[in-house]
Amino acid sequence: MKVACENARQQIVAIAAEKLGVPEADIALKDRLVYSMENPEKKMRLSWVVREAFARAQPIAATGTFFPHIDLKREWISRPWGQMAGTFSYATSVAEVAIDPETGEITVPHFTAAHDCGRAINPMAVEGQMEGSVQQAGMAAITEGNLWDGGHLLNPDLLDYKVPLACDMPEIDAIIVESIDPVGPFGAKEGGIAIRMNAYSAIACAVSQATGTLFKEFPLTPDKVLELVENGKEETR
Amino acid sequence: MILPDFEYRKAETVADAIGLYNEFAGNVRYLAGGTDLMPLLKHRLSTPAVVIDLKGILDLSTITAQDGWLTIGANVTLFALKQNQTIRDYFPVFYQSLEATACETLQMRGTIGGNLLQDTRCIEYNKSNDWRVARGFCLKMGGKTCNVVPGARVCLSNYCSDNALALISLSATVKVIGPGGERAMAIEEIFSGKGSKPFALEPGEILTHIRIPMEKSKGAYEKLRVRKSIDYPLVAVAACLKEDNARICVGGIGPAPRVYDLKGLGTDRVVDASRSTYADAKAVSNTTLSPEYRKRMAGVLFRRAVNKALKEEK
Ligand SMILES: Cc1cc2nc3c(=O)[nH]c(=O)nc-3n(C[C@H](O)[C@H](O)[C@H](O)COP(=O)(O)OP(=O)(O)OC[C@H]3O[C@@H](n4cnc5c(N)ncnc54)[C@H](O)[C@@H]3O)c2cc1C
Repeated sequence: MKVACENARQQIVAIAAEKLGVPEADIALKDRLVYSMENPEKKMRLSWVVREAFARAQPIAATGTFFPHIDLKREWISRPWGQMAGTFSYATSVAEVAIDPETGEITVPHFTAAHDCGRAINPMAVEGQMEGSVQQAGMAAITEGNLWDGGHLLNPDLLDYKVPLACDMPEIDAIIVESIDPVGPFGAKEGGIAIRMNAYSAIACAVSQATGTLFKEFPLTPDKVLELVENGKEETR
Repeated sequence: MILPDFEYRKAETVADAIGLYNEFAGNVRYLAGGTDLMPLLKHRLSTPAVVIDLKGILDLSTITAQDGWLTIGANVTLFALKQNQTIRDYFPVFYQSLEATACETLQMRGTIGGNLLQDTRCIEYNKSNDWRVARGFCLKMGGKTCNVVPGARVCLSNYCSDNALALISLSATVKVIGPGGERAMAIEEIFSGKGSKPFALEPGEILTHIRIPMEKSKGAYEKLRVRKSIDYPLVAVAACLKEDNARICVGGIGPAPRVYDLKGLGTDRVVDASRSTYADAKAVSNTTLSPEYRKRMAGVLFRRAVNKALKEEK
């Protein structure tokens, strides 16, 4: 996206430089105007440049591609080494759970998520991504799962495949940790997936710690959790 | 999913509706809020020739307190009931069951009449026509076998109204009017106990009013569900206390709620009664949670509901 924008800008600059009679390096764009930095009196509206390009049958249109420096020979099974991504993001999820010892119902009063997303270009959007991850991984670990009867999916609808809704969500602290990435556009990396990858681990660890036992299967519906509570008691006895 | 073809008629009086019922020889379904009926039609679980809308019957839309009874018209929405001060003050168990029903948008659309007469549910039944054709029709669909319990001869689908449990615990009565005339009965008598045809109403009968004796009561409603924001009960218990007696109703398991009348509320008495719910609850694998777990939870919720109601008393 950034490269495409830069390429589009280059086309604008070329036309403006020609029209204003100044070198391309002297052109700046601001407030819908294209002007000479040397002599700001020399200026024209950006919309004129666009119209001019259109009249020349070469409308401003650009593409951009970016390919990170990765080791293309890397393969998950046969050659699991080599640089796998252009950059890496990091995140931590901390889940606080309360388990009803009689019913096995889990409530999550509080969830803390911290995410190194590079530069947060739009911090509110980054927080939204993190909260979405807590929903789709964290709370989903308690409610979401497919049920089968032979080959028949028993919950192919949103009534019985239980996606947590807004009122099922915990109080969330979303902490953005900025690290300006040297490669990512404007220093950005990604916002969201790293929490998506570990929010359920946090819930799982919290449930394991609370019940004192390990488990093999999601989702953590109350029937299964009650078993954990009871097994946990036996193991510590 | 799209609706099948049917004719739509709107009644303005109960007599009107029964006239239409007779005119179309019973091949009809009554419509209130439609929140239960519309999905059944879309799934082709019901294919009436005519749908008779009852919402225009104004007599069924009022709540009145008179002669020692609170009388509720069948068309009153769950949300309107929740807003009613008398219900909050006199019948806490009912207020809590209303609050626990589905979600507020559905409460605004769904009526109490429709809520009581909602069809029983099963994870193998409330499915699209294509799904059911692939799986094979079960007893409730007119097939020969149960898809949940192979070999079962009766349908064990679950009756899922939250509010029926509360109303039973409050000793409410209902009034119905049909082609054969008018009658009144205790609310628990509307259940047949059969999953394939859960209500013991005569063909064409319309539920017109629900009446609750106007006595202040202590009460509590306990409901188990996986998703708190919106979910049918997996098992639920309503408890209503009057002096030293309690009427407790367990539902969400099987085609009809179960009633327990307790005289005396000593701890032993309550624990004993809660134990019998385990044997009584005929849970099978027809919801998202295991039947054994739901059976056990009936007792847990039973004790909780009673204890919560007792605490409120102090
Ligand atoms: C997603 C979802 C979640 C839900 N969760 C819950 C829940 O947690 N707890 C709960 O209790 N309910 C739950 N419900 C059910 C909901 O509360 C009922 O669908 C609603 O109350 C029905 O009212 P209605 O007016 O829409 O009925 P309708 O759909 O119009 O009617 C329901 C049935 O009653 C019949 N009927 C209606 N009025 C009369 C009458 N006066 N006389 C004779 N027959 C009549 C209709 O023919 C139909 O068979 C849920 C529903 C949905 C869709």
